[in-house]
This record gives sequence, C-alpha cells and structure tokens, in this order.
Amino acid sequence: MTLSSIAENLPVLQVVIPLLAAAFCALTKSGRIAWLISTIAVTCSFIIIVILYLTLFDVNNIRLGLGGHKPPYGIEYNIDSLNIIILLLVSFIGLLVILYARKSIQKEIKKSKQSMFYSMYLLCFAGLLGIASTNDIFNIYVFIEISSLATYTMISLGKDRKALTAAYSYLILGTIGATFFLIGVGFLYIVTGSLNITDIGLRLKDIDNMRPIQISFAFISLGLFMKIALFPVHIWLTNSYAYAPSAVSSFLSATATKVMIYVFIRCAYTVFGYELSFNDMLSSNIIIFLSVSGVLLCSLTAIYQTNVKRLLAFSSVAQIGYIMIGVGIATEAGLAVGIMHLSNHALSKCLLFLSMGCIFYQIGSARLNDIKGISKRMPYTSIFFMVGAFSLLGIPGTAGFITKWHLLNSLLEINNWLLFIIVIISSILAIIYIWKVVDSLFFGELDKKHKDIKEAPISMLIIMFILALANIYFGFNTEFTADLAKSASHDLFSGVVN
Amino acid sequence: MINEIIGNYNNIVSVILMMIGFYITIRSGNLIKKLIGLAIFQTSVLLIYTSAGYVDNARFPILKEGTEQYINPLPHVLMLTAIVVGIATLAVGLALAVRIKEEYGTCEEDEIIALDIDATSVLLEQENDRTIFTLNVKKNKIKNKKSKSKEEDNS
Repeated sequence: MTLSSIAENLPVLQVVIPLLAAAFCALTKSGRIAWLISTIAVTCSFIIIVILYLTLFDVNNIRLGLGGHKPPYGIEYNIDSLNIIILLLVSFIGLLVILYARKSIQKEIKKSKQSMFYSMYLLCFAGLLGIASTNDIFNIYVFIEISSLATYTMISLGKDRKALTAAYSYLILGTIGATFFLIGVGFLYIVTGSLNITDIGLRLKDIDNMRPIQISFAFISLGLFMKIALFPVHIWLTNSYAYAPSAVSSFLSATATKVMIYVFIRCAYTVFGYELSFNDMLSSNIIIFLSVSGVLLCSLTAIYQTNVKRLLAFSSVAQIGYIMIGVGIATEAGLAVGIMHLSNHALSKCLLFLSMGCIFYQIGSARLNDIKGISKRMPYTSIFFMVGAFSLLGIPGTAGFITKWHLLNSLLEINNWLLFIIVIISSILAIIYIWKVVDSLFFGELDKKHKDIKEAPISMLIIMFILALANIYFGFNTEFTADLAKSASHDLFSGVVN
Repeated sequence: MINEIIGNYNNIVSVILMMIGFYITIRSGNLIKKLIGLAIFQTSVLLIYTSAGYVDNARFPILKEGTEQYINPLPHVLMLTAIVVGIATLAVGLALAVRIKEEYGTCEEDEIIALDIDATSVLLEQENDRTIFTLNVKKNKIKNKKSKSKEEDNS
C-alpha cells in the first residue's frame, strides 16, 4: 500500500472509510467511543473530498474503475464539477452535525442505543456520498437503499411515538420510490445493455425516441420525485423531520433530499439528454407546475403550524420547490440557480434546525407556545436562529439573497412574469411564518417554568456559530456557491461532463 | 395480438404482480398487510430483470467447450443485490410495525390516526389554539362513527 495507490483510490475511499467505521461503531457498546470513531471517519471523508476538490482545478474529472475493471464493464467512480458540490456539502454538514450530535444524542437517545445510532449515521453518510460519487446507475439504487434504510432507523429513534409512524410511512413511500427507480433502470439496461451512466448517455444519443426509453424516464423521475419530496408526494417529509431527533432532522434537511435532486439532474442531463428530458417529455411544464403549487401551498400550511420543527419541515418542501423551479425552467442560468440553492438552502435550513435543536435540548419542546421569550435566557441561540431565518428569507448580506437574486434574474431572462410574481408572493408568505417564530422567541412573555433555563452547551454554540458565519460569508463571497454552480451548469449544457 | 401476449407472458405476469402489490400497499389499512404488498411489489421487479437476461436456446453461463451462446448472467447478479435490499427493507418495516404495536397497541392505520388526533386535541385544548375547532370536528366525527358502530353491534 504505497502513497500513490492511496491517492489513486481517493474517490472510493471517502465512501469506504465511513462504511467500515459503521461496522466498528456497531461492535462497541459505549456511545462515547462510537462517537469518536464516527467523528474520525467523517473528518477523513471531509479531508479526502477537499483534496479531490483541489485536484479538480487541474483536470475536468477524476475517474476510477473499481477492481481493475475498465469503465463500461466494472463499477466506475467519477468526480466532476457537478457532484463535487454535493460531496463538499454533504461532508461539511455531516462533520458539523456529528460534532453537534454528541450532546443532543446523549440527552435524546437511550444509552444502550447510542453506539447503534452513530453506526446508522455513518451508514447514511456513506450512502449519500456513494450516490453522489458513483457513475454506475445500479450502484446509485443500492446506495439510495443503504442511506434510506439507515434514515428510517434514525427517524424512528425520536422521543415522540409519532416518530415511529413517520418512519413507517417514509419506509413505504421511500421503498416505492426506490423501486420505481429500479424499474426505470431495468428498462434502460434492456435498451442499451449498459449500466455506466456515461456509456448509457452515449448509446442513447444514437437511438431515436423509443417507447421503453420514455417509460424509463417516467419511472425514474417519478421515483426520484418521491425521494425529493416534490409537492404531491412530500407527505413523508414533514412528520419525519418534525419528530426525528434534532441532529437527525438537521442532517437530513440539509442533505438527503438535495442528493436526490442531484440524481435527478444527472439522469435528466447526462443519461437521457436535454432533448428527451425537456423537449419530448414535457417534464419542464410538469416540474414547474408541481413546484409552484408546492411553494405556495406548503408556505401557506407552514403559517398554520404550531410545532416549529414541523413548520421548518413545510418550509423545506417549499424551498425544494424553488430548487425544482430552477431545474425545471431548463436554461443554463436556471439550472445554475437550482444547484446554487441546493447548497445555500442546506446551509440556512441546517442552521435553523440546529438552533431549534438547542432549544429543544434545553426545554424539551419545540412548540410555538413553549418557546415564548426564550431569547432572554438563550440569547446566542436565538441570534443564530435569526441569521438562519434571514438567509432563508433572502435578506441582502446572507447566502439566501444570492440565490433569490439569481432566481429572479433567470426568470426575467426568459420573460416569465407569472413565475416571477409567484416567487415574490411566496417570499412574503415565508416572511409571515418566520415572523411567527421570531415573534414568540423575542417578544413573547417568558413562561415561569422556564426561568432556570440556561444557554445551550458551548460545543453546540460553536457549531452554530460556524454555520452562521458560513451563511454570512457566502452572502459576500460567491466564489464557492455561485461560480461552482455556474461552471457545473455550463459543463452539463455543453456536454463536457459525461 | 395473441402471439404478442403469449410472447410477452413473462412481462405481463410481472406487471400483474406489480399492480397487485402496489394496490395492497396503498389500499390496505393494516401495517403488516402493507408490508406484504410492498414485498410483492418489489419481487415483481425481479421477474422483469431476470427475463430480460434470457436468451433462446442458450446455455447457462458456465464455460464449456462447443457452446455458442450463453444466457446473460448480469441481470441475475443485479437481482441478488435487489433481493438483499428487499429483505432488509422488510425487516426494518416489520421491526417498526412491532414498535408501533407496542406504543399504540394496534396495527390498524385508522385507529393510530384517531389516537394521534385525540392526543393532539388534548394538547391543543390546553393551549387554546385556533385550529382546535377543525380538529374537534374530526374527533367528533370519529366518535360518532364509533358510537354508531357500537349501536349496530348492540342491535
């Protein structure tokens, strides 16, 4: 095992290290040791991904055929300008949440189950990284199932008994979605005889529109919509995020649905090609219709929520709508907005869930009536919540502003005034539901039983501080988010990324 | 037409199985029955794949001299993975059903929803929330249904 062979295998090591560490976590009984192992594993993955990102400055993409088999035959890993964004996002959020999780998991989960929780967390983390970095479409299915199965288990560990039913309904819908994806992959394999994404893309270019390919596209996108939680099939998401342990809901809200959106973009552009996905199948209209209704209806529903975590979950569905509007308008600028909002929304929503998690950690509830006036006892947490909220609303000076600005610009570019107005209206709705939380946090009267509440532990505060800083930093420095997204979108449209 | 049906009977069977499984999953109110439907749904996909690998008058894929054609083994290998995934999903689902039975005392979906609505409306009554009205209407409806069914039982 020389250094050069390690360097060669970096694209797969970032997935293998957390997978192996998950097994070790399951073997230990102590939650503390399991936490240590998983922190080391997640840090390793993060460092590897940063190295991969730095290497991408010089080359277009990094490809690795596993087990010495040449690409179209064996499983291939491929890192390019699109999925490096997802990898950076997942590993960054994963690292922050695992550092945050130690305290909150100690309190929310039974001692005997803690090491198992970390094992599940690592499996989910490895699955998401695997989905993002593999170039083999069947391998994507396997990784989807690995990460989903871990997710169901983690959600069901929530304190409320509703967490169990939430996890169950996620299991049913998630499995149906993944199976639809599998059927679509089957049709693709029957037509092209290949499973390598690049290879399928090349072979489909020579084939004229065939019925099986259209059916395959329909199955794959339907299955992925279920996993993305696009509007009519979002039901699993709200309860799962509301009742899962707070570390889990902040990790999932920032990564799980985002990775699925990546898979959809990859399938639509690289596998099926722009022509089939957006010209022949009219998916542009369907996606925009669904996401617009999701944005409006879910923002409205969020206003009437009394549980803040559930409110944030509904807001997540609405924000996914924004991302999918960007993907659906199918212009280069639109796709860039979609990719940009992936990371910016992840940063802001993760911060919101983490700060709610801190309040939940201290008072054991996330209901609007219970958090009244908490800002007097937990000033820092409340300020971090405000930063996240500003970023979600798109106030200038935060990361959210950049995407709102680009989204409105890209809508003007194609002269779509209806969508422009809808985005403005839904932003106003977002101000209403965020104001409800801010109002009771800052201006509500402090309950007598909460007189002795203290500020959250320092380790949790530091994590939130880093995320808040990231939210503000990316509002001024757009190199990471906007420029990366633009180059990825440009590569997809010009066909450089295969 | 008839030739097409006979020629594609494997695909037709798998589609029928798929629809049966899907229907059970979305229609049944029992958590265990839902999982049974899900298992049938997943299994039907195995048939599509394995029949795609079949080649007429070909030998099973073990190397032997003088054989011209072999059956494509790749779909079978893929489906081995899918079988494992299906079993894992079923196991997690059943474990969740057991936990739900422990917490709620029932595996029927409508009863679980009714129990949850009862619990939330109690919480909301304490808070004097505005949504209480709509929830109470639902709760009363359920109560009415229960009492009606009881009356029918009695009669």
